[in-house]
Amino acid sequence: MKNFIKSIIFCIILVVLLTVSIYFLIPQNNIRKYNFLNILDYEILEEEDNTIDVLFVGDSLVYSSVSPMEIWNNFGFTSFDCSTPAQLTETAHEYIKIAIERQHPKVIFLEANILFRDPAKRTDERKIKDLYDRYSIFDKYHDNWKDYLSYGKRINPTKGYYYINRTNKAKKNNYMEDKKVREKIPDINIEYFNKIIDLCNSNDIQLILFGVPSMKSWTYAKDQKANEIANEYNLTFIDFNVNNMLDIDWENETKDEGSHLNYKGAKKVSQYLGNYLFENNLVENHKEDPSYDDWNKAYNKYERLIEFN
Amino acid sequence: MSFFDLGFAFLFVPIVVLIFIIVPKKVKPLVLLLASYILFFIASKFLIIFLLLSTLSIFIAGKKLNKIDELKTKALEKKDIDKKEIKEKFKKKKRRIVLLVILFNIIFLFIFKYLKFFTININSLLDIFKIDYNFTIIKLVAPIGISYYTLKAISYVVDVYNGKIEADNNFVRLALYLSFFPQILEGPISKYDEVADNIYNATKVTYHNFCFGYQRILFGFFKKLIIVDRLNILVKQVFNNYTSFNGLSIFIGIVSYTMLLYMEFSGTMDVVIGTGEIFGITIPENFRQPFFSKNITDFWSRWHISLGHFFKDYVFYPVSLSKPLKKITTSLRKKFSVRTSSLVAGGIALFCVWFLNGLWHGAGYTYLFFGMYHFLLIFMGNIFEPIIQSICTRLKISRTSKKYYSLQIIKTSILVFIGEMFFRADSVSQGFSMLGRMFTRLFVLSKNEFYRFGLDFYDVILIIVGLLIVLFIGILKEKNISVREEIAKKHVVVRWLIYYLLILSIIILGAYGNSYAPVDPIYADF
Repeated sequence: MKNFIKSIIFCIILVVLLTVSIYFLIPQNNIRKYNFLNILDYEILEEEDNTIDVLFVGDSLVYSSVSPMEIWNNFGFTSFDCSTPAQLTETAHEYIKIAIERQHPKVIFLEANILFRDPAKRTDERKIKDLYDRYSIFDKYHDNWKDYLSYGKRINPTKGYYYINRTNKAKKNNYMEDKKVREKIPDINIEYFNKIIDLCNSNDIQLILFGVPSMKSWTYAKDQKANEIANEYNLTFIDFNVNNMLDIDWENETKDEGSHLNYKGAKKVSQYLGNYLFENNLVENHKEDPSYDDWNKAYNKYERLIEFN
Repeated sequence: MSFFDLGFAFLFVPIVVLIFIIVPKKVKPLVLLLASYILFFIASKFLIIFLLLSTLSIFIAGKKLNKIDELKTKALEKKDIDKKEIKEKFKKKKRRIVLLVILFNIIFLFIFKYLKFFTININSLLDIFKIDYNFTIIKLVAPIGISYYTLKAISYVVDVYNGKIEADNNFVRLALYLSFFPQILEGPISKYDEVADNIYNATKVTYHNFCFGYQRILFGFFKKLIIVDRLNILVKQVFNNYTSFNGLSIFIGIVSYTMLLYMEFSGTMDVVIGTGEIFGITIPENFRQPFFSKNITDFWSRWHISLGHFFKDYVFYPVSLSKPLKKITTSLRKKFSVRTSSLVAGGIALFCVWFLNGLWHGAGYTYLFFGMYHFLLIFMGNIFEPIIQSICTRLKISRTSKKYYSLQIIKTSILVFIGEMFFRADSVSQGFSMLGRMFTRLFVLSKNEFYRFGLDFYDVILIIVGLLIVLFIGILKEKNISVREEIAKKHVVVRWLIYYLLILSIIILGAYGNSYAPVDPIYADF
């Protein structure tokens, strides 16, 4: 009994110590403005207010395929991946709502795949993973002490992008030819999609739909539906899957047999999107603006990450 | 699968502990066996059939050997018989069974581990002789720990054959010996009499064992997350781009690789031994401060100890005492001195040991070279020992002095670093290129050379501090001081402070998450 009580006291002190260390490790930038659990859910809250011009919203396809730092380096545009694993349209709406309270983005790219994800079919396994993702605080932030010692604050080097350079080649490459598969957009998603459009309209944000290259998540039927939706709501739809628009090499540019792109693939997507923003003159280049110096620091960190991992 | 997955130490082990505590004494071995098979199944799915086949084969063989012994005793009880002839007859029968079981187990190991290597080489030979035929190269995924449990299986049947142990009639005990879950992935290759009873008779999880076990596990995590996963960045940079690095950087690279290998393997052993300790099971140590070794022989008695013991007991002695080698020794003694003939005989046995040691580590020429490199070092060491001894006597150098010992440690370490460089290199020629570059460009340094190691200032500091802590604990161990026992004697505040520091340092300073690529378990691939 004595040992049992001792163990309990030991664990309680450990939990207190861990909680205190969490407080110091998670981004200090907005810790007083937001409950830290919100920062865990919405990574964009780490960023300085009114610094992000473009949001990329969606699921794992987005954080595997769009690297805001590549866009910053090549075009000087500030962007952020507001993407979470297996994101629902409802979550996307919530994320955008939270994000635009502190940021004033001019463009939001919404990934079309999330429109097809049925919240009613969310598995228990996914729910457990969601919980893990939310509370894997140390996984995300344990290394922040280095930033505090070097820069006095956290510098996020990936801005929501998840860097993976592993290659696991895809087995088939004719995924857009299978025309038998049927796809349906659940009504609840249409409801939240409308809410997203309303949010964008009322905040003067241009909403663009896009379909990220993915052999396993994208289908011909999704392509057709996404085009229909884009026409119906008069939105631009950037369709990367049709005719393999970016010439994705599915042997070398996917990390998991065609489901998600790896870094090589992400570079192509990021370059295209940056160029799209540039050619359509949608956002401003902040590269030479001294008030955006943290972005250069972040890029240096990002460069190291890419070079040595 | 890795023992450093949090799921193993902080989910799987606690669940097994809980069930182990709850169930009645008789069922406890079954719980451990079931846990072992579940873990094996998680990692290797239906390849578990090969583990079961190995277990069955040695169980049946043990029973057969017992039966033959019984028959032999009965036969020897009869009067007017040629006892020698009967003994020889039964020995032959036993030998046949042992050889059959060894072959049966080795075949699986060969198919899974070496078939691809041999097929490639046979195809190359066919090409050289311009024979227009190529064998299909079959790539197979091996069951986890096949290199370890196969050697354990062999050691069991050989020990039964030699009469060192009785054949086990209890299938659960034997199956547990072969598959006990902490040992299945990376050993140690303990002998049956060292652990089987200990595992089978484990009955209690005491508070003391639980705490000590987890302390050891955490120390393993410390080595892996603070040191190994950081050194990995540097090692990858140097070995993958060695042509762009100069001598000093390559030297730092090879020292780092050796440290990485040691920390990864010994860290895994900390998790293995710590897990055993939780259940009150003493798993033999596999490392004993190898970097305090005086020479290469000493090093191999401190590094991967269980593998060294296996090769000594089941290769070196049987080869040394074999009839052909005895004949060679006898004929050599007629022409040369006793020392020369023993050196030659020992050399042949040593060659077999190191050839197999290299091959055991992997199907590749770098591993064979690694084996031959150590064979030569040890063999040359044996040849030159009297000469060194006489030089030291003449120059009045004390071989027991601290200075001499320090020089011996430095010499041994450098030889080990070079050996491990060949071990890690993609090819033997890469190993030689790196070696050449290291010596010819030792004092050359290019711009940003250290930056290209990929480590930041804080990573370097943490690696150094981590290594110093491990070194300090090693020095205490070398002096037979148990660090954990010493900490346990301290006041509760000091004690807990140390534990909290250890836990928090792993969580906060560990190299995991998005910025670090973890090292896969290196020794699990051998």
